[in-house]
Amino acid sequence: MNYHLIRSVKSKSKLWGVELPALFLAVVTLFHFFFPSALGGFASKVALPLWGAERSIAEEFSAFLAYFSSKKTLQADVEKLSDELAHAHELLLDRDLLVQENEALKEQFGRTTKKNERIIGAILVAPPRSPYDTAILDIGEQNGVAVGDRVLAGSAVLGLVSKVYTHTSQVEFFSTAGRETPVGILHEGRAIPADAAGQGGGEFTATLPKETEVSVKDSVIMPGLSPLLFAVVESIETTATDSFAHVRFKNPVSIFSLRFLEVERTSVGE
Amino acid sequence: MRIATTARVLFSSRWCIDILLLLCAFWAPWWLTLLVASLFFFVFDRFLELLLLSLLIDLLYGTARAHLFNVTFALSFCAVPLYFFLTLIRHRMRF
Repeated sequence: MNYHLIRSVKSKSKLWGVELPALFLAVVTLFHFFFPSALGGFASKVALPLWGAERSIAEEFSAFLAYFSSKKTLQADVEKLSDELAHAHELLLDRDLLVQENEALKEQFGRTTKKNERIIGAILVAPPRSPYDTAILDIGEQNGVAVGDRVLAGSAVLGLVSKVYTHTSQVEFFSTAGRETPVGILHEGRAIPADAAGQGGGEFTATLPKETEVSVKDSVIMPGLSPLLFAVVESIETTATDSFAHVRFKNPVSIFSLRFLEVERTSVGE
Repeated sequence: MRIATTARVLFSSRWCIDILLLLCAFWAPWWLTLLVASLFFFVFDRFLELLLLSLLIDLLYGTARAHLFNVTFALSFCAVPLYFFLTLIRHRMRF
């Protein structure tokens, strides 16, 4: 009598092995092609309460941990933060004055800048959790956010809104790998044009002719009438034989440690 | 002893693992989710959850990239060869 060895018995339903995964992805891709925001909208609707729960748990937990921290540590923290705040106040003393002067000069030359409305949004998910260097904010269509709106942290511009759902929106940072953004590197009053290639994690590179005068800590700005701070030059790499200099710059704020972002509405009043 | 038995029962239940991985997709980094899913690929048969999770991650965070041929489901497309690769390894493994 012949017996089949278990290992030689072939699977009856081969469909589950190879074809089904590929078929499933093909169907989903087709569905997404015809209804681009349906699946994403549904997924974000499901995720929103979970992200909200995570945030509240994290806040409760940090409050619970703070209960156990010693008074001495808290006092040291308060003193350190007070010093930092005082120093920041000193640095910002002439800021308002300079802004007013700048506005007055623009008005004199017949150029007035339109102030766009800003909406503050809490970050639900930020890199490195997402694989694409994107962040999810808790504000969406309902709050007037639209695709293409600029995303800022204070005076630093970080990215653009790439997707909008009813209650959430997705932010694509300029530092996303493969993304190129035209910028200007400020050096001794001149803005040197460059293309910032995103490297992920808030970092960029730009290739410039070796003779271009750029130094470390130079500000990188977004071109425009009211230039916004984009990044700060971190390092310049070149060799004796190289004709180009590779400039590396970084966002002035770390995108990993942010809790809130501001969305500048481009379509106010709609 | 009872805790160990409960843990064994929970980890042998596919539904429990699915829920755990789903929560992982929302709360943990994407690479950790896929790593855990890849490990459970060797525990359960035809672990299609690996593909579903990568699809969910793409739906939540995905964006079209020029250097990825403007494909929104880049991770899902990468998960298909990973699925086949893991299937191959699983078939060659002897427990």
